[in-house]
Amino acid sequence: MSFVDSLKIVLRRNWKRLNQTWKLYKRSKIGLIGLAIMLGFVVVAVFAPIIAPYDPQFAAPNEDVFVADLSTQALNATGTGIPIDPRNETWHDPVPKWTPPPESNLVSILAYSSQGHAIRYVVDFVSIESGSALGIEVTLDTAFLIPQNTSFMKYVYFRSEYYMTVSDSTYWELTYDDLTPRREVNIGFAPIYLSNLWWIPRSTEVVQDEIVCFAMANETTLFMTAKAHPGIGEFNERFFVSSKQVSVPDVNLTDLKIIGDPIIILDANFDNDTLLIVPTDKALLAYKIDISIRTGGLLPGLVDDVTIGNLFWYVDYQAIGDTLGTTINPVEKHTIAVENPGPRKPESKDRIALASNPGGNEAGNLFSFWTANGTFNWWTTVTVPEMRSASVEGVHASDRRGFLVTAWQSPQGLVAGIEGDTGRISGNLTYYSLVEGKIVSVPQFVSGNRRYILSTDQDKVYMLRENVKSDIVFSIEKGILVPVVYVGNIMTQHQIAGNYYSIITREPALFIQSLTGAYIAPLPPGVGNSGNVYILGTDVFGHDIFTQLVYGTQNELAVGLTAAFIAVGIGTLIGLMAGYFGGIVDSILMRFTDIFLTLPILVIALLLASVLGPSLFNLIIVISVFSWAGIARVIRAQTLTLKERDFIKAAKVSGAGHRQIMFRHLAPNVLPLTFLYMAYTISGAIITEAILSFLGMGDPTAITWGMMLQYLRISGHTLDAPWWFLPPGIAITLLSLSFYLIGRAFDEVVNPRLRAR
Amino acid sequence: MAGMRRYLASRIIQTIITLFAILTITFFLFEALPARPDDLLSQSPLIKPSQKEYLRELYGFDRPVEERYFIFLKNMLTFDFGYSISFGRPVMDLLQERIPRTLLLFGLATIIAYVVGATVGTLIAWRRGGVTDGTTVVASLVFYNMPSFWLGLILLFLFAFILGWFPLAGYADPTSDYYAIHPALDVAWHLFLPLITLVLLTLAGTVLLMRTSMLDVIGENYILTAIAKGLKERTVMFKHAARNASLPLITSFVIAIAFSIGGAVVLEQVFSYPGIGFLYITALFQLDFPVALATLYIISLFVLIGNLGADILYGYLDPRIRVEATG
Amino acid sequence: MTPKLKHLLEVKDLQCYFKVHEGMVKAVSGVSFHLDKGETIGLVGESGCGKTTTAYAITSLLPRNATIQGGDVVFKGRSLLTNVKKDKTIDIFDDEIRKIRWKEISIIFQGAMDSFNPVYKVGDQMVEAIRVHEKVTYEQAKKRVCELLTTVGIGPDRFDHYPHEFSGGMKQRAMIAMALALNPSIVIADEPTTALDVVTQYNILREIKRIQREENVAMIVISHDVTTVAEMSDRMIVMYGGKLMETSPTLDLFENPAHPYTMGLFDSIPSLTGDRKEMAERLASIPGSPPSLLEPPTGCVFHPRCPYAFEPCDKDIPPDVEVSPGHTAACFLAEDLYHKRREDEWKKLR
Repeated sequence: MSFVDSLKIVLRRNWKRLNQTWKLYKRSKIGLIGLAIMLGFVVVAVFAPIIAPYDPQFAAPNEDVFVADLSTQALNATGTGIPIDPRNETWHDPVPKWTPPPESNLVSILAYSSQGHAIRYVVDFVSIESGSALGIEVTLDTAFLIPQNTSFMKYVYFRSEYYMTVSDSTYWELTYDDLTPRREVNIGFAPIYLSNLWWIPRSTEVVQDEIVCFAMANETTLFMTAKAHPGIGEFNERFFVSSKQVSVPDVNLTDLKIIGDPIIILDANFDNDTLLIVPTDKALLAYKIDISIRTGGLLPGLVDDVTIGNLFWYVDYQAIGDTLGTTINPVEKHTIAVENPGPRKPESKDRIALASNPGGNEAGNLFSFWTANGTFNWWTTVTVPEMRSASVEGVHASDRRGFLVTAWQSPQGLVAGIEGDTGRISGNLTYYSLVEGKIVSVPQFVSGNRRYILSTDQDKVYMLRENVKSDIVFSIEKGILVPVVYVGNIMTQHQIAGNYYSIITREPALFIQSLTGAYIAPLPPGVGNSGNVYILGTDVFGHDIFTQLVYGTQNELAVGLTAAFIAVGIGTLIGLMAGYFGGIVDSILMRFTDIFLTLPILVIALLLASVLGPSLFNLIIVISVFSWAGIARVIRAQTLTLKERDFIKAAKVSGAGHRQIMFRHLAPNVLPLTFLYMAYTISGAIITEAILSFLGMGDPTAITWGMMLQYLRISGHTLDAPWWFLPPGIAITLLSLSFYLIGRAFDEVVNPRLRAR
Repeated sequence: MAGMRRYLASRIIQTIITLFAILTITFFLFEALPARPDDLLSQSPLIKPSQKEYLRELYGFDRPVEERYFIFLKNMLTFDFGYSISFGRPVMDLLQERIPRTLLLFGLATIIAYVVGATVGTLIAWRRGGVTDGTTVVASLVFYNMPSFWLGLILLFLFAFILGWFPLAGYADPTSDYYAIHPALDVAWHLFLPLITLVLLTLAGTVLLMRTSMLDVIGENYILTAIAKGLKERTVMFKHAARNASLPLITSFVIAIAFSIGGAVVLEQVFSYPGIGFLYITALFQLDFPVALATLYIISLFVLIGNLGADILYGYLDPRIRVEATG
Repeated sequence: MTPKLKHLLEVKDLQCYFKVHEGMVKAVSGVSFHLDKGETIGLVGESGCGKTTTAYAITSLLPRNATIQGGDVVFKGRSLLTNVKKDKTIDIFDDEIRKIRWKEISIIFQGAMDSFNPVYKVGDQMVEAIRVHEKVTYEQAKKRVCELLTTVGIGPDRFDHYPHEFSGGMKQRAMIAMALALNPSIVIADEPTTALDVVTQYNILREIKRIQREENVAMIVISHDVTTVAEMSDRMIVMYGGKLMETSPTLDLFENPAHPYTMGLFDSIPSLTGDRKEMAERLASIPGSPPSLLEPPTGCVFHPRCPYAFEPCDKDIPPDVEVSPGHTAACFLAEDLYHKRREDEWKKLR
């Protein structure tokens, strides 16, 4: 007869006793509660896929975990002593200050008006330690008086920090701290067009030098300022100005009118020429910028003078147009753009593109020339299937080789990426986006999250990916007064918190928003932007806590039951053997058991887990190893008592072998005790697993409640996400408690003395 | 106390055997670790070459396993641990710093938990039933089944983070106001939360056990005799009933200490309390094996000494066991 | 003017019920008897008849769920049940009753069981009993204890021994010594010879008789062993189902039992001839099983097992009939049975 058969006989024989046991068990309130809770968890484990709202791999979508981090500051300067009437002032692009690369951390933003007022705001980043949520914090610094009719301001750090300012026909440098003038230069005219700020690092054997150049123009005249570092022994930086009237020594090209922003570039193709490229109505001009270096004397190698030199090359639109059979009719302002210099190979040449609209209902064009000598490269018509006769608004620099072109055909705008080599729209004619309204800002590239940002006259801000496809659109309800400007990124202690842009809204108010938003997971319980319901919130990865809790139940029960089963199995076996055989066997086994009883479990378990590696299976092994000893002791005691009973003696006398007696006769009778201790062991196993997982020994691939708490600890959100740290703990407590209560109630059945009278 | 000497002798022998067993297991577990200690030594930046040499000599890396085993035993028994790889300091120094802190936490918690627990368990078992009994039992059941670190986190969250009554980490802060009044006060302020946590957790078990034990004892005949003799209620409750009921409590201490010292180790993590448990876990994760071995050994010693102490106490309290020991 | 005390101890219509999960266990439902100075009463009955409860109730040695629903216990003219609370439960540690305990009324427990605390020395436990009630030093008390131990035949060197070092008989004797330590007025002996071997039983009995002779204490001897008790008792009280069946001077009870239950008890006394078969027949004792005290039978509590049961037995509670001075029985047929008018019937039934 097998063990199972004899077990069946025992069961049948003891049916009445089992029934009685159940009746007694029922009497205990805590037993029923324990049973109910345990069954509840079992149901949850079994029906996990139905009960859990999401898959185990589910993570909350971006729109839930990223939140637009923004700040709005009304442009008023009360308390600063400067009377500003924001609504009646003409506001310009906000001026950010950021720390030098590579951090480029945004520090302050200045809003200025033509009425001679400027308001500066300090930008800070609020992190967890201060107590409130993640986000930028914009506070009013102070207001300033600036020159009237200021039309341009830019923050510059060249030896010291200052705002480069243009008002009317004066070039100013205003100190950063209190915007007091420290340099004033008369331009001679009020500039309409402005170039980029061009930095040239120079180093010779003797000195490390830097030159910064800036060009301004009205319709006829160019004006350039340049600065160089002071030499050794000098205190001041050197400042150079030069101006030139545009003209071409050719009969046909007289009365040239400058029509767009000039560009200063370093053309490295030949002899590192620095060029100032100027678009006029009839020709494209390239002037050489002469940088004279001092030779000899006390301080050789220093820059002596920076001036606009001779005309280097020019492109006659008429001539080109005739050759190509078309008309070049350049657009104003954003007429030209220079290709982003790629890796410097000997054969690479830079291009410049010119935007033009032939007129009539025809689509606009782009013409491309080499910067080295102005020779024609290619030309293209800017059309896309949805827009066949858009007029080009401007051409701009791209972050990669090629250009960006903006166009407009009512009511939509178009922005497209243009391949430098061919002039075609990149990505096999796919790199473009249609936007609502006319694009009114220069598309700026944000290297931080690799996106372009632009705004339209329909109060929309678009973010485009590198493939010029827009994926995020912000609608600015307050209306865009001054178009978008990328203002830099903000650093927190550990990482870049986000890239921000700012606009001035119609209020008027300074509006700053992050491009991606602050990462706000772990989410508290509630509904996310996507409409997903998170009953218990999410963890830092966006996993739904409730789902994890539900699926975790499966692993918890598996680990607890398996570990307990193994432990009880081993313990019962050893206890039986020790009790039955007695003598030497008993002594040895009991010494062995005692050792395991007194081993400091967690301490050695950690070591064991380090050796074995983190996995669910190993966890079960470790827990079992430390749990069997207690049971062995108890079973041994019970066996000793049973051994003296008559039916055992009878079996011995009748010649039954050791194994038979142990398994057929003794084992079924120690079963009640075994069950009792199994309940307690499961309870303990669940807690032990939680502790081991929490300390890092758990299985990273399996969801258990202990692992949830470990991730909590690692993520550093322990103290600010109670919805994450309460449920797993409560679940562990409840599950462990339920088994313990079952054990206790069963204990009362087995030991009647414990029963309430 | 006739049987006492015999009993003591047998318990001490058992302790020594267990100690050797633990050392052996520890040794082989460390041998089984995937990282080679020699590599760990060479990679560590903080430790001086002279110290590295010392460690190599001490642990005998170049010897075969059998020799290493005995060298290891010798080192442990003579408390020669060498230098810490991650701190560059002698391990003994580290231990001397930290052992008192853990002893303070664990010792105090255990004493409080057992004394309070025994008393509470006695009182509620005596007046069985009623609201106090019920609530105490339920509360004990819940705390008993709570994962230790989780309770620590909750208390930390509530009292240190939200209310700010207690510090978030550490052992002592020479810059705090409390320290200015008296250093001991500052230590007490830091110790409070981990202590309370450990006390609550241990208390749950002791209360439940004492209560069960008392319920058993109250039904015994000698209690009836005591009452019949006209003794006061308090005398019967404590001198007769509790005295007997506390025996299983002491037995359980022997088994419980092995687990609850683990609890102290975990709590040191949660509260960043720089005791020996914290050191152990740090050393384990950084594979600083001289420290890990030493702390494991010391912790095991504590457990064994605690056991021995409990056994002696038990032998003192229960005269029957002395007879059994001789048998 | 204080009226002359009639009896040393009077139990008047004591009703002691226990509150249990299922309801109320009516352990003692209206028991009355008296005890005079120097006399010994035997309190007999089956297990669970309420004899122990009755005896223990005298000094309120009852569990927490015990309630006194009615009646009184009067000792030396004063009620011992002043500690009964409004909800009928008892304040077991009432100061007044504690003073009485052991000093006036002591108990000889079944020494073979754990009646001594295993963790304290036997001598110290006896000293404790003395020092609770008398202001003496430890040494004085110890001296007295050693004397007492000698009296019961235990060497005084055993003072420092623990209970597990005493044999069953020794424990019983130590128990006796302790019970007498304060010269009480009443000693209750609870199953004094049960669970002991025959030789020890004999010794214990002898001890008890010596006490009766020399100490002049009143005794209540509780036992389910009728013959043993009969040897030492002046009077007997027979209980069944929480009620008093019959009470009488010993001899008269044996010669002229007036209650069917008593008759059944005697009939179940094993024969001394040792005839196994006969004994087996006799030990079949009274057919049926003891009544449920939770829901006792209506009318006479014995009627379900009574061979003489007739019409009124299941409806009315039989009155206490005094069949002869000092001899009462609670049965409708008491007179008949006393005068043996029903013997033939009885013989036929057996």
